[in-house]
Parts: sequence; structure tokens; C-alpha cells
Amino acid sequence: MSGAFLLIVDDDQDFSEGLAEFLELDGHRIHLAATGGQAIEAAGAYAYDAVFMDIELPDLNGVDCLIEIRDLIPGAACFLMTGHTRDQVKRRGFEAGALEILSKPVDPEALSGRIAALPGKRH
Amino acid sequence: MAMMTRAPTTVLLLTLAAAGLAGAIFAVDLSLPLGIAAGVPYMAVVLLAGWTRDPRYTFAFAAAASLLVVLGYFYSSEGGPAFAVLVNRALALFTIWVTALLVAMAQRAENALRTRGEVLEDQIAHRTADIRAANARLRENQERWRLANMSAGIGTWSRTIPDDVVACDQNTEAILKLDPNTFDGTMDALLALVHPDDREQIAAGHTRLLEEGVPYLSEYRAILPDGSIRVIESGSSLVEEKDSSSRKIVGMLRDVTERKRRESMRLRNERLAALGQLTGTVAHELRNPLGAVRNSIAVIRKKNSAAKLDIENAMNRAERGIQRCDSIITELLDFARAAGVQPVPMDLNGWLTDVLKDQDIPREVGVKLDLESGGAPVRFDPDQLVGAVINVVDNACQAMRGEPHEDRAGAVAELSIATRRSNGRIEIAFADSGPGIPAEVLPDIMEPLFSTKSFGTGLGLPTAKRIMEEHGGGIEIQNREDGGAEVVLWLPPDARAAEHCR
Repeated sequence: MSGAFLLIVDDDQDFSEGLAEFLELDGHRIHLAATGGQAIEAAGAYAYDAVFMDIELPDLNGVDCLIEIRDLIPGAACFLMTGHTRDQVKRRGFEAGALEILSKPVDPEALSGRIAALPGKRH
Repeated sequence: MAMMTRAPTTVLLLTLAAAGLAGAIFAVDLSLPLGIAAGVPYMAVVLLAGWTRDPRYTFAFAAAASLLVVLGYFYSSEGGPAFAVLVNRALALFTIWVTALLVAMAQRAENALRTRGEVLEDQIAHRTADIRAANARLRENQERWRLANMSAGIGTWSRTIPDDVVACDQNTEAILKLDPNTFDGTMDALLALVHPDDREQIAAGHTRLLEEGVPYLSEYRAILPDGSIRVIESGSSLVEEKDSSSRKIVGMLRDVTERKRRESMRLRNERLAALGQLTGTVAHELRNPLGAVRNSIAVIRKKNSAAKLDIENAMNRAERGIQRCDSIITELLDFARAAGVQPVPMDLNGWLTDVLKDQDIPREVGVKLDLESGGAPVRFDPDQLVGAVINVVDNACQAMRGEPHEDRAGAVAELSIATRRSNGRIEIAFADSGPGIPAEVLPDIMEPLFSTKSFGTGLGLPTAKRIMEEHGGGIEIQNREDGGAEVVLWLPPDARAAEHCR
């Protein structure tokens, strides 16, 4: 099973590092970004297979950030993550091109399954 | 001064009568020999002048009679000694003029009296007109006052002390739903309407008012004849009447139930908005570390797959703990978020079918759907209504999961969900085959933080209620006659939407 190249955008380091460590055990390659700015910069430099984006970022709204990232890497599968439930932001999130809106705390096993199901991984 | 003389025809008749009488007396005087006091009867002529009410006629008649007395002296037949004849004539003249003076004085006095009477009558007429006008103004003002009170929903009443007679106006009767035919007009009859817990307060207020004259404002609950409980605001003050041992308490009252309800709703909404802000932040902040723990557990599990340490049970407990924390946060968020619904026209039946499909309804529960066909679009906020539906479905499933009711051993767990229109309302009814809701729990079941479950925040049904109320609808819970509970979520008729479905 070939690993995917993933970008996790979250300002909570414990959360993103834990998720990254788990996904690395599955053989994926992970980049972390703590802000929307860092995420856009990274997306300009690397073609990720998937992006996991927290909606509440310190500098940008995750949905707006996602729209920019999709311009940079249109092929990436995008997931939004939020600490809120059934938020109205969901509709906007799907309009912005998110495949799914995940409620925190996300289930890492389920996430792992989603990534495995992604078509055409490059790495 | 008004003209005192009688009408000219009366005066003319009197004059003619006086002339006739005078002529007759004169004829008698002529036929009698001098020396007989034949001039004295002329006083009758003067008396006749009294009826004219005018002293001038009296003196004129007296002068004419005097002339006739003098003429009688010259034309009468001779007789008697000259001295006696002169005395005789002088006596006649004296009688005539004394009579004239008396008649004139009587006329003056009568005229003065009559004048005073007319002035008095005039004054009385004026006063009467004033009083009539004042009464008309008073009636007009009373009507204005009544209308103003009616539109402001204010009723007035009064109570006389010590005879304890209570009089209520129409507004008061309407507010307190008093039947004027049966209300006996006593304070006790009025107090009987007051909630027993509030009676003492009112009695104390009246006592203080009577003893110290302090006007008082109060608020109390009234239990009306139709059984409804209303909040009444009332104010009373004391009216002391001069030179009277009786006093009067006058008061106003109005029904402030609706205002109170709105105030408490507003307060509640403010509290909930603040709570919502707080829980929103807290939930987000808690979910990140919770996510970190969950991720780390997953890492530990994965890394342990080679080491094979006996940590599986511990990891499962940790996972369950996370899930419990998560569902508590979700409940808190849902409750706090159930404000500011944004209704859109939706196909209720289609939406409901989709929502139910997504639910983890236990396999042993049979779901029976009875959807009203051809339903027009309904306006609601799907993101919010889903919370109400999930809450009710979860409760029903949990109720049926418990130990089978002894009377219902072997009963099949069944949840019937129906959409229907009833009394113009749009209803979603959930009927379960569980044990029903214990009677002692039923009144409290909608109260926030009231929970019969061993764990949970007790916000499930209050959240559903809040969501429905935000839609202008509500929630009704009752036990069905054939067992189990029925929960009805209803939307107001104007939730019907003419627009196209989204």
C-alpha cells in the first residue's frame, strides 16, 4: 500500500502531531501547518494528495483558506475539521469544495480508511 | 327688573270693573242724603287695583275715588248737619288713602319677592345648565377613561370601608373573568380568585393602606374561574371622605401574564445567548485536546500491535470516556445553539426520511413511517429541526431498550413516526411502545438539567422544545392510552411555504 502525501492544518500542535504520528504509522507522508498562511505557502510548493483543514485558524477562516488551496492544488482531496457540530458553516464548506466536514475529535481509524480510499495517490 | 304689571287686558278689565263699581257706589252716594258715610265702599275700588300689581294704578284709583267722594258732596241731596257731612267725607277719603297705602305696600313687597324669586330661578337655571354640561363632560371623560383603560387592559375597582362593598368596572370583570350575576361584591369573593400563596401579601397590603395610607403596588397570581393562572399587577390607594366615617380603597389592575412571559423569555434568551457563546468557545477548546487524546490512543494502539501489551480494556475505557465527553459537549452546544432559526421551504417528508436513515436506531426497534402524502413545502430550519428529531428518536429508543414492562412482556419495540396536519398545525408524531413516562416525571420532563438517565446533561428535551419554540411551534408529550409515550413536534400553520422546495 503506497502512502499518501498529506497536509494537516491546525493550530493545536498536540492534535495535529498526534494525528500525524498515527497516519505516519500507516505509511503516509505528512506536512503540518499551524496557520492559514503557512498552509497556502505549503500548498504552493507541494502537490498534496489530501488536506485536513481546521476551520478555526488563528489568521484565516479555514473555509476561505481551503478555497485558495484548491486553486493551487485542484486535485487534492479536502477535508474540513471543526470543534462545532452541525454548524451552518457546513454548507459553505461543501460549496468551497470540501469532501467531508469532520467533527472533532475525529476518529483516526475512520480517517485512515478515508485516505486509503483516495484515488490516484502520487507517493 | 322684569315688568311687574299684569297683562294690559287684565289691567283693562280691572279698570272697567273698578269704574263700574265706582259708578255704582257714586249712584248710591247720590241717592243717599249727605251725612251718611257712603264714600267708604270706595276702598273696594282701591282693593281692585291691588290685582294690577302696579302701585301707580292703586294711587290713580284712589285719586279717582277721592274725586268721586268730593263730587258726591256737591251733588248729593241735602241732609245732616254740615259738620257731620264734612267728617263723613273726610273719613271716606282717609279710608281710601289708607287702603291705597296698604295695597301699594303689599304690591311693593309682592313685587320685590317676585323679583327675588325670578333672580333665584335664573340662577338655578344657570346652575342646572352648568351641572348638565359638567355631567356631560364627566360622562365623556369617563368614556374616554374607560376606552383608554380598555385598550391598555386596565381595570378599576373600589372597595368601601367598613361596609366592604367591592365594585368592579367592565374591564376588571373581563380581566378576572367575573360573572356580574354571581359576583357578590365582597373582598372575600375577590380574594378567592387569588392564588393561596399570594393572599396574605394582598391582605397585608390592604391593612397597611388602611392603617398608614400608603398606596401599594403588588403582583399576584389569580386563578380564574376557567382555571387559567394569570399574573395580575395591581395598585391601590386610599380615598378619605371628609365628614364621613366611611373610606374607600380605589385600585387598578391589569393582566401582565404576557409581559411577564416575554420578559422571562427575553431574560432566558439573553442567558442562553451568553451560555451559547461560552459553550461554543469551551466546546471548541475542549474538542482539540480531546482530539489529541483520541489521536494518541490510536497511535498507542497501533504501536502496541507489535508489543502486544495487555492494554486493550484500558484503551477502550479511554475511548468511551472521550465519546461521553464528546456527546455532553454536543448536547450543550445544541441547547445553546437552538436560537436564531433560519427557516427555508423544505419537503418535510423527504427530509425526515433522510434524517431517519442517518440515525443509529437499534436493530430491535421497528420503525413504522406514516407520512402524509402530497404535503406542501414547509418552512423550517433543517439544521435545527434535525436536533429536535434526533433527541426525540433517541429518547424513544432508550425508553424501549429498558427492561420489558411486566405487563408488556414480549412486546415488540416499535416506533411509529407520522407526519400530519391537525388543527392547521404541521405535526411530526413519534409514538413508542415503551413503558410510557411516569406520571410524577411528566411535569418536569421539559426542564433543563432534569434527567432520568444515569448519565446525560438533561438537555435533550429542553433543546427539542427550544428548537420548536424558535420555529413558533412546540412540543407535546403524553402517554398513549394503549401504552407507550407519544411526542408531537409541531410547527405553526404559517410554516407552510408557498415558495419552491429547496
